[in-house]
Amino acid sequence: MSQAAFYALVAGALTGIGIYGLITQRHLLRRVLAVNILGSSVFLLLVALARRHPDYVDPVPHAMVLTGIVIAVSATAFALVLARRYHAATGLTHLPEDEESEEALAPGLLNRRSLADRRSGGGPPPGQPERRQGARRRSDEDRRSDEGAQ
Amino acid sequence: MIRALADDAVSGAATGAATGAATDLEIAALLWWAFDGLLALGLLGLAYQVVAGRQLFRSVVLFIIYGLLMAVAWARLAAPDLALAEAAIGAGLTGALLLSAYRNLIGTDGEEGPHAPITPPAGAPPMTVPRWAALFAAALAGLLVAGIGWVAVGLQPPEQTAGRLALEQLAESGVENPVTAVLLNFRSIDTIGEVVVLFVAFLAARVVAQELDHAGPGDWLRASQREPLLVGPLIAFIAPMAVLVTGYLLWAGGHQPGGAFQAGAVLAALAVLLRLTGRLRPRLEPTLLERSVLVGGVVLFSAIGLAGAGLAGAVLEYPPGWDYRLILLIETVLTLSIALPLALLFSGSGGLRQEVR
Repeated sequence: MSQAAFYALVAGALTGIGIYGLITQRHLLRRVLAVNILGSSVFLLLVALARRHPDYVDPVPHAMVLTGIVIAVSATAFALVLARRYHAATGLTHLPEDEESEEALAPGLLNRRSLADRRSGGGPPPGQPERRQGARRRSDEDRRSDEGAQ
Repeated sequence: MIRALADDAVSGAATGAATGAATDLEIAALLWWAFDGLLALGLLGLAYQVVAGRQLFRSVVLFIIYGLLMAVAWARLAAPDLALAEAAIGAGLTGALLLSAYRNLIGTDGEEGPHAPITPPAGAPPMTVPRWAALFAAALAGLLVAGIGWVAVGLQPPEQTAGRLALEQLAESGVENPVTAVLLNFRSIDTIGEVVVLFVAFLAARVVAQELDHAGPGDWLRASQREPLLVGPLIAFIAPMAVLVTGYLLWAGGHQPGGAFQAGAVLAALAVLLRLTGRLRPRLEPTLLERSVLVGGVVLFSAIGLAGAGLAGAVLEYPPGWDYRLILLIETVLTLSIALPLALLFSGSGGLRQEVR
């Protein structure tokens, strides 16, 4: 077995692990991690394929993977910003579609109720307004100090 | 070079007689296989811990280590450019982004402390999808990718591939590093697209993000508390070194592993460090300079590409004799245009300003 074939098999196994995590994990951060594992497994496959020629190393897959790494970090950064915003708005760290087994999770009960309130058009969930005001206050302070420095 | 040694070892082992030297080479080849095997085991074990480990914080840290091992694997596969990029961007910057998001999502949350297991307690249904279904889907996907890889490696490679073409025409590209040649000459349209994606991700994050509520400095930087004694000297040592490494990687990209992406990542990492230690503070809006740096890479690259239509006969073609100079100019601007959005994505702000101390 050549080195390229060996690493291609490793890439396959990593893909399996990434898919497994993506399906079974509900936490948003875990899913971002799983997608990153998935992405890197595909990169590994491409790099292994670049190595299959006996007499040279193919630079084109390398350039593609280099591009892919930067795009992966861009997408990850955006996904994390979305997750933060979602967390700030709902207090949840997983998506509402994944709520079937929520009853069993004692800590999640409060969050779930707050989401239900939100859905039924009720007021803001308990505990949330205080924190969000805090966030805004901090932001105002920053804004002031920002203007002061200019 | 390491790979070349291993190749020598393999060929030496195949042709060599039963001399002592041949045996040594056989042992060397075996050792390299053992190294590859251990590396693969490490990657698989870490990947499993990252997606299914009990503590989220531990998983995030293990993901960073996974990135570093992946960089070693790519170095083994004769891809030093990628190993550099993965270590700096994949493990370093992604890790910083993940840790900062972790703190925001969980560290501030009273319900789930950093050490609370995130998997549900025993007896609770652990997931919405049955485990066997998830395992089945994962095995199917894994077999698919492994199968594609196995078949593609086994096939007789075509005589004329894009890669061989690129290597044959390397002399005309203006640079000696084939990866840089592909990125900035033969397939430069991909690179423009990539910088655009990075810029769009930054813009989208600005739209979604809450203003200035991200990645704040640690508690010890609040006005009432003093900075640890060693932070100042450490920054004084690391900051110039990081700038030096950025310059080196940028310059080296023309003839050996390195280039704008690796250099930009190192520069962004420096900005992250300065941001975390309070040397740089977030600012609501980017200044004019920051705005021009953010779009500079795309604008300059596109302008030179369009100018090529008139001067060299094709879009994204460099005028003869100007390749190296133009590539170096583009790479320099790209370094800044890659570093700034990455740093701002971490900072979660529109701009950065120096902290007046």
